[in-house]
Amino acid sequence: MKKMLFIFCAIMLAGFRSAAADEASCNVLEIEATSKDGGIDKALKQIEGKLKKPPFSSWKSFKLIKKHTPKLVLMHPKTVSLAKGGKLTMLYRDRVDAKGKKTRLRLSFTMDDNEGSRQSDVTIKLDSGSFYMSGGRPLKSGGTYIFAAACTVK
Amino acid sequence: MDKKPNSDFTDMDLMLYNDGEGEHLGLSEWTQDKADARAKLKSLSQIGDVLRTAGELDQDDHFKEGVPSGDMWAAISSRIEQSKELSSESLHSKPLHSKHSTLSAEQKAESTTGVSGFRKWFSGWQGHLVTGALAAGAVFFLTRQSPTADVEQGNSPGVAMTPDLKQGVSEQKAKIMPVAFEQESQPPEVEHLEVFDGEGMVLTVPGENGDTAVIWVSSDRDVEGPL
Repeated sequence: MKKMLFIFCAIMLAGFRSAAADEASCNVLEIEATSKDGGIDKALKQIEGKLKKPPFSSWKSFKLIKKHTPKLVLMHPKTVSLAKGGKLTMLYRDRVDAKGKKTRLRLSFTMDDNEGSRQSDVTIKLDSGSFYMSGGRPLKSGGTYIFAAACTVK
Repeated sequence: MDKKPNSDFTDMDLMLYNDGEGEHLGLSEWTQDKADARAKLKSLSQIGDVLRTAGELDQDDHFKEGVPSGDMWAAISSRIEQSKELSSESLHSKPLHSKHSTLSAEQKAESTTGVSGFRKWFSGWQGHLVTGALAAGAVFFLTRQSPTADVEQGNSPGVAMTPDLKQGVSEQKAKIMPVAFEQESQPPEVEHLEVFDGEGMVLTVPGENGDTAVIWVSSDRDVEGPL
């Protein structure tokens, strides 16, 4: 009986470990960049250094429009509705753990406009916790749309 | 001590008589008929001899050790007093030459003589005490001189303890400082890029925690709005 209980616990633990390894916690930041004075929003502190470098240094203010925190399950696409219309579909494809190196994630970002037309499709490999940024499309307000995404695994 | 001749005498009277102070009481005649009293007197005489002999031996020892004569006589008189008390007690209850009673008297005498008793005790344990003190001193010296590892606990996982060589060898103290395991960061790799209604450009923005991939999109659309 004890042996059976031990095996059950081991299976449960292994399953829990596997589930934790197959899940990625992400941060998606929607940003509006303008040439007006205003500086960098305090909510964007984690990417403040990057926004001060080209090509982002062309703008003077950066304001967080919306923040999303989706959790991705391996090979399960996750769609996030964007604040300015349209949607972002994220897919956690793979991970690579190499000795002495940061965990590497393989992610796909697919962006569609509010009419359902595909705008961009990107598959990228990056370190766990590192940001991927995309931008350049103009907003009706005169600003420029930027989004930044980072995913972390345990 | 105004007892009449031939009356019953106590042990104290016998002791006084033994010391030459009870002659006038007529004890000599009284003891003629009392075998028990004669035995007691004989015992008292023997005890006196023993005490005197012990005193003389003690005196010799003190002269050898160079103890001031004042202390010596104080110690001897104290011992004699103690011995007399014990002797008088033993006359009533115990055998006169009991070894136990003799040892107790010596112990009591030592306890009452303070400094001299300590000196005597110390002379017996002097070698052990000096050896112990020297050993403790050597251990303390070696502990102070040998390299010591002051370990500071790391607060986060993935932290290694490594010697801080900046401290220098001359300090002879290896201080352990926490150092995080440096996991090598790799630049982002864009495997697939497809931009519709425009052009995409891949840029890399260097950062402290690794490079960031940036895809800059130039839209061909006339209509403003990202999506």
